[in-house]
Amino acid sequence: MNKVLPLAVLAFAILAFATLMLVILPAAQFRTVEPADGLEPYTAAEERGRQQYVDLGCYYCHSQQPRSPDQAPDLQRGWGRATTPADYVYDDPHVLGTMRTGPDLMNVGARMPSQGWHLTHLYQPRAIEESSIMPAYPFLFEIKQNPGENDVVVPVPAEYAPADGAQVVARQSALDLTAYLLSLDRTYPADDLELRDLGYDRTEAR
Amino acid sequence: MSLTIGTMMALSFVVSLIGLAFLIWAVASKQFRVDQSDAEVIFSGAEGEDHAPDDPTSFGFQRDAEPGEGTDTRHRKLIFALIGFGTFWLVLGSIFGVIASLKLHLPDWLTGSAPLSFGRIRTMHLNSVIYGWLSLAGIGVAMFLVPRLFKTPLRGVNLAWGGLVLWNIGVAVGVYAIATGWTDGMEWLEIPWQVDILLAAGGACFAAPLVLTAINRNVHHIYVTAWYYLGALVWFPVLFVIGNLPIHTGVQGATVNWWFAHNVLGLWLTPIGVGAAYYVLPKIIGKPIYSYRLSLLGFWALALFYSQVGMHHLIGGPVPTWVVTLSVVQSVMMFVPVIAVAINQHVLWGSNLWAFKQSLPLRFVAFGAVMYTLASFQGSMEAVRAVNTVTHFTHYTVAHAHLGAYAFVSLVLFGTVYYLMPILTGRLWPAPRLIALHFWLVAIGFGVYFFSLTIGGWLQGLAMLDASRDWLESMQLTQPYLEGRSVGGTLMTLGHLLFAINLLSLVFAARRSTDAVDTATPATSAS
Amino acid sequence: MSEQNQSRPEPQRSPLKESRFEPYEVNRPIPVFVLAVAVALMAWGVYTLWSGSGPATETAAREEAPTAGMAGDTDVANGQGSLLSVGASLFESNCVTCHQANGSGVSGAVPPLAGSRYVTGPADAPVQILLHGISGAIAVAGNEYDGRMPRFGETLSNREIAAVVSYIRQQWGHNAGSVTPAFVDEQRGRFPADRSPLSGGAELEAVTGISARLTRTAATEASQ
Repeated sequence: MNKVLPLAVLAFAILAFATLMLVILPAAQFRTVEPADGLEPYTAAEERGRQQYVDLGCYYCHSQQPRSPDQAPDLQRGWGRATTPADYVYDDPHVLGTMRTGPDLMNVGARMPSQGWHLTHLYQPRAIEESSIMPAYPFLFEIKQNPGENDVVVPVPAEYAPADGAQVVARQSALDLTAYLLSLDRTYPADDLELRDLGYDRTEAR
Repeated sequence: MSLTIGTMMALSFVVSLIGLAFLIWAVASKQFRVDQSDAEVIFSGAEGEDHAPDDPTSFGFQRDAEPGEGTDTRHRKLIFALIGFGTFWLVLGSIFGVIASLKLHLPDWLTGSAPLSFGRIRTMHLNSVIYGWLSLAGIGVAMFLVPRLFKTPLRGVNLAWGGLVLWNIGVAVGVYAIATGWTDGMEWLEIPWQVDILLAAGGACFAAPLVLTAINRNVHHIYVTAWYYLGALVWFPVLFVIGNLPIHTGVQGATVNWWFAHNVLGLWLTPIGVGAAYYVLPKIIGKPIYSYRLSLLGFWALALFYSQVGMHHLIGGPVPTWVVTLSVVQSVMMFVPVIAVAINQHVLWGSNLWAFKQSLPLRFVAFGAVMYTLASFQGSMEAVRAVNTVTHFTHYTVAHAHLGAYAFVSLVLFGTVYYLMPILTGRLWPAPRLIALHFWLVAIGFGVYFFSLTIGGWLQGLAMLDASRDWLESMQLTQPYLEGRSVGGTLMTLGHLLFAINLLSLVFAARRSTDAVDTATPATSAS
Repeated sequence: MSEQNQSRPEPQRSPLKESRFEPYEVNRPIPVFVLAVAVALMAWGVYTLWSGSGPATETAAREEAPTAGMAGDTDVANGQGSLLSVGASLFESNCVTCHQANGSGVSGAVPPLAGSRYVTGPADAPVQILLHGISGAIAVAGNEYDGRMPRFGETLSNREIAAVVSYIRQQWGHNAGSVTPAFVDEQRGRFPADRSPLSGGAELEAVTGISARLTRTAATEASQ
């Protein structure tokens, strides 16, 4: 090869073709997807909490995409049914995740519906599961000697509670994040199942 | 709908196959032969000459020769600055990486502030090493090689300096933004798009001089290294702009995310590494590459297949089957270009093992080239559905990513920098033994890192697939392996500190004896 | 060549200049085995795309769709399929996420069904919980819970609720009786369809007579 321009043009054309296949065509398919029946838009607090989830990088350890029962026992672990694009219509940016250093969270709001549990777990995961390697997030909380009437006091076991009898109080960021986690509930029926990867499904066609 | 989509997918693969078939036909029927004859004419003086390792770092080994015709000391400092800042980001990024690694088995360590939490420091690590270290050092190497390949002084040196300033500000602001929680929230695309404008402008300032140099070149033939560089200069801007457009939402965001993220590896970092290895291996050994036709096959098949592999990150996920399967197939097809590059490079160093005794840079570069082959084979296997079911969502993937981005690209860059710095400064490395120590630290450190996470990740994946075992087991059993990763990562970081010390000692030695450099400089450029 | 190489180095020369050698590529043909690998991979690729996902995408989608939604909707509506098998598939698609496949619930968050006196006791309790949902403090099998469960009164038919209640009353070693669609219909009549969720164990006690407190006998019953 001895010409710059043809090389550049062909290289560009190949990438443009790949972009068509991997970006534009899937986008055209997803564009027509309606939100699933049963999927609610996030409330303002949930959306703020979702931003916390993204800022703190929760999605580097937690996926939000249960696999089909034909591929993995995600359903039996209580993580929920396999998801479809209709379940993510309100998600921006997406937080599908690529790691399960922690469990899948697609349905954590349905699985763990208690605000207190989440607040305690965020303040100190090891107060709930001794072997957990999830980081503690003490900066989402403040320590108060005399919590006010509107303060949400976090039930922390004595072992992890502040020494001088003070109380752990959730900041707004912790409440928002918890609101988001509690909103994660895709237990309604799946829509548009043909738009997910069915490469593992054991059907008669195989 | 699905019928048309199925057709489109078949079409895509057929187009790729036709491309490959055409390429093989063109190569076999010698359509490219004219160019090769050019090359032989140009370099005929070189062949048959006794080929000694051209390597200023070797223990006591020295060689006299004509200066390279493309050498241009006008932009010497630019190359120093690119490599210097790259090394700064490497050291900083490695420290972030070690902190992140430690946090996975010391979860209550440094939990007091948000910037130090795992999710952020891990991301600062990734962005520092990808956009700081690998990109800057890679461009620095390109700035050294491109004028040589084209025997043409670098055009637009001042523009490139501007690019360096913009790029560094972009990375610094980007990493700081991530620390404060300002992020676009997609893996590999975390730097906010507003900051990415700086990087795009900086990137354009780097690309323009390289492309102008190529257009105004003084040789007819374009050597394979330059194909990779030119390809990367076309690809990366397209990827970067489309990936960062703030318009992708929902699952569609995920497809763009992984299309981008995997292509950054394949169409940006891979060309940087393969291109440098294609130059440094024959240059140090003093013998030609095995086959021009294999080079062609390796380059174009990389472009054809690699550009479509990204969706293997969403296997079993909420994206249509056709696009996942397409990426799986294209991932496996990657065997073709990888085997081509492997033969070209490994035959060369494999039949000249004597050179390893004399050249330290060769160790790094050849090691890196082998890791490219292994990383790509492993990547193809990981994309196969049966394997992916186990490895997806586990630390196995992290080991694989480091095999590619670190053991391959970083080691090739280390070797290339060790090769080029003495030529540029006109001084020998003050302590070659520290270079050897650097090599062993990163090689052993990486080995510990890789095998820990590969074994741990595989066991983690098996545990996660076993419905009779509690999910917690899959996390608990990785603990010793995560600790092993921290040990390996620490060794690698020590190696990087040594790399920085080596660079500093060379540059300061050069500065102390400015006279020596000044006398050496005219000798280098007067040919 | 290699003998030549061993005769070096010659250390007296300057180390700081580049060699005149410029890298280039020899004009060798592509090895046959590389072509063979390429052809084999192409054949594999065509096979995978053809057999794997082209046509199968459509078939799979069509066949999968019913099971993924409310499983067994049509079967139940048509009165086909045994009550228990329909209940099992409804349980898997609607309940497993929280209550787990083995009915153990989630420690500290979701009450277990296995061994729960609300499941095995009078059948109006599980039916009312399914119809209207429940929210608030409840004591099950020796532990206190404070969560919420959504209502299924609108999404499941009488026969479907009968199926899933019958299923959980006979799973995990339970031996309580089946529930008929007629019984569910009768339970629907007790409250308006749009009433608020039952407020925890306290209201359940009022509605069904099952003691909200974990008495010794209740605990014993739970551990059966």
